[in-house]
Amino acid sequence: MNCSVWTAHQHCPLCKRQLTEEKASLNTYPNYHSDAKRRNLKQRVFLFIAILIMSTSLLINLLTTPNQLWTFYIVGPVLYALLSINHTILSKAHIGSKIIFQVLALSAMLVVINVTAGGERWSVHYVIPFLVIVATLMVTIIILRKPMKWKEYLGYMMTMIILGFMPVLLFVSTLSYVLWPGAITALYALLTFTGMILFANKTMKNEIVRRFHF
Amino acid sequence: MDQWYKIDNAGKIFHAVSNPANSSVFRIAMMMKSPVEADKLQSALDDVMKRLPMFAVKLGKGIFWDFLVENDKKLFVQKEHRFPCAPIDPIETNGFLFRVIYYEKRIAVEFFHSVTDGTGALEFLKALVYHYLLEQQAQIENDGSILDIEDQPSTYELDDSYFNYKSNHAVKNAREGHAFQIKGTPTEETTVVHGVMKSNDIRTAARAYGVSITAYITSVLIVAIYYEKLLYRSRKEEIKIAIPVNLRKMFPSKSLRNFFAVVNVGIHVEEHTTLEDIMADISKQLQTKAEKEALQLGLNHHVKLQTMLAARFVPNFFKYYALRYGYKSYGERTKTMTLTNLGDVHLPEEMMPHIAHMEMVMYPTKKSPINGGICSINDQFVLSFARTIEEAAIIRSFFQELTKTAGIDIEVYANDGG
Repeated sequence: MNCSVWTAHQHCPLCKRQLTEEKASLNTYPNYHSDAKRRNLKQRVFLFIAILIMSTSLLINLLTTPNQLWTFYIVGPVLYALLSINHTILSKAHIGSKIIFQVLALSAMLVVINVTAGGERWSVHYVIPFLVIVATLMVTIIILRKPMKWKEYLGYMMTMIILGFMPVLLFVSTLSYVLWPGAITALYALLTFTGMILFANKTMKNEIVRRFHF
Repeated sequence: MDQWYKIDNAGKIFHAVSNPANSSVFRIAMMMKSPVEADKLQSALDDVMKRLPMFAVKLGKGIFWDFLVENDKKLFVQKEHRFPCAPIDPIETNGFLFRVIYYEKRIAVEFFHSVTDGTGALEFLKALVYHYLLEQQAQIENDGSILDIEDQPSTYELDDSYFNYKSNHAVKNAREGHAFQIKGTPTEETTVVHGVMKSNDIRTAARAYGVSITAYITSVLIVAIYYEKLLYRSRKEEIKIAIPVNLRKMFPSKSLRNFFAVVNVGIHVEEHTTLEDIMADISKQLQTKAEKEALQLGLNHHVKLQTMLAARFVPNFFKYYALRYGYKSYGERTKTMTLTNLGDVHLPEEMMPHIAHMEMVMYPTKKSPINGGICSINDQFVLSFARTIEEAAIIRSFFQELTKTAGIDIEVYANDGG
């Protein structure tokens, strides 16, 4: 009553003073518990392990063979594993976004390893175009197997088609000098897009209208 | 499964600015006289969902604007396990942008603000509780105050009334001065404190000053903020309270989607300013700012921003970034607190004995960490404060001021009272 209001709680909700010795029987709200906190803890544990491995390997590398930075062979895969655990495994993200994330993360990791090793640019010549084709094929298969869910995947499919032209851009920008894998990826993206247009029914057109409304 | 809706004018902003610290999720609840039966509530929900397709939606991702699309999954009632107005996780709700919660005697709906406003949510809750009571074999005659689920959904209920009522007149200048902002120790979970009093006591108190209930409560709130935060500060900034106004009262609309405006009323309180001075000023501001002509200008302004040709073809990502910036700079910084008044709720007479009182919980935000909601029914006036800071001094001072100046009896309960 110090706050000049009445309450049935054991402690005043306004000033926190204890008002009675007895535990109040008022049951207006539950006790809260959060799953997000537990998930968050897992993610922080993995992050700490990743930092531990990367910093230790960097230190050993600098102390033993400072002229040869082999630590990137460890940093790349560890970062990839960390992101894969936190996004692909632990997060509730859409499977389409997980596929696209994997394409980008795997590509980045392989480029890092390739640059560290030096020599032939096998990552941009062959691996990235191949990864894009496999990912586009995966999204296509999911849509064909679950036609009821195609609307959910339309945005991811469009993203994959756009990514399909990336290897050709790498060639144009002279980062890559082997044309045929990039050309095949672009053709595959173009064919997927053509297939989508040709086999589109009214509902797909409707879906495109709503996605592009302005 | 092909029905889809553009998100309405106000809904676009809530969608762009929502994040874990600003859920854009508000709650309206009815406290029943007996514990809630979950199976009967589920049956009532299944029935009501068929009648209100505009709520049975999930979010669709577009290039220039996101949209709402029909959701054919089932929405399950949930036993309350999270704090009020927690962000809606579509995975947990089967894609739906609202949840139906029960706990002991409470039936609550929590809506993401992009779907509807307080009026739309109230219509939903009224229909839900009506059908819940019918499931319990209560004898209730629908006097027309509840949506009839036998009726076909009306296209008027789907109307984006902002567009419908925009006019070619001038638009309101959006520039407004910054207001005093409450700061405190942030908490992860939202704490709510409800103050229950007799509607008649509040009405009598407001009448004694010749002002409306909203003007009265707003003024007492300003006094409480002043005493707790500005009395011993050299820089006395303006205290502004943002009050949502139901536009359906001025512009005839049956829409169950968002159709409201926000008016900011405020005052520079000095040491010599009396409660009477504040009430006179706030009451006058409320009258002029909530006039139809003033609201029309604001409505035109918001529709114009959305329909600007330059903005239309900007991809979502950039547009939402700009909306977030505008919201922080011109929306959040121009108010100290939001106080929303759902008013006195009318239900069929036979429903009243089953309902103890109602709660309206307005989600707090980072810049506005304490917000208030008002709802009254059955002569029970409930003022609920939701906060994401530890300090409750303003709320305590507000209730003390009410009891001191008007002698009103208040009972409080909270989700952290122990």
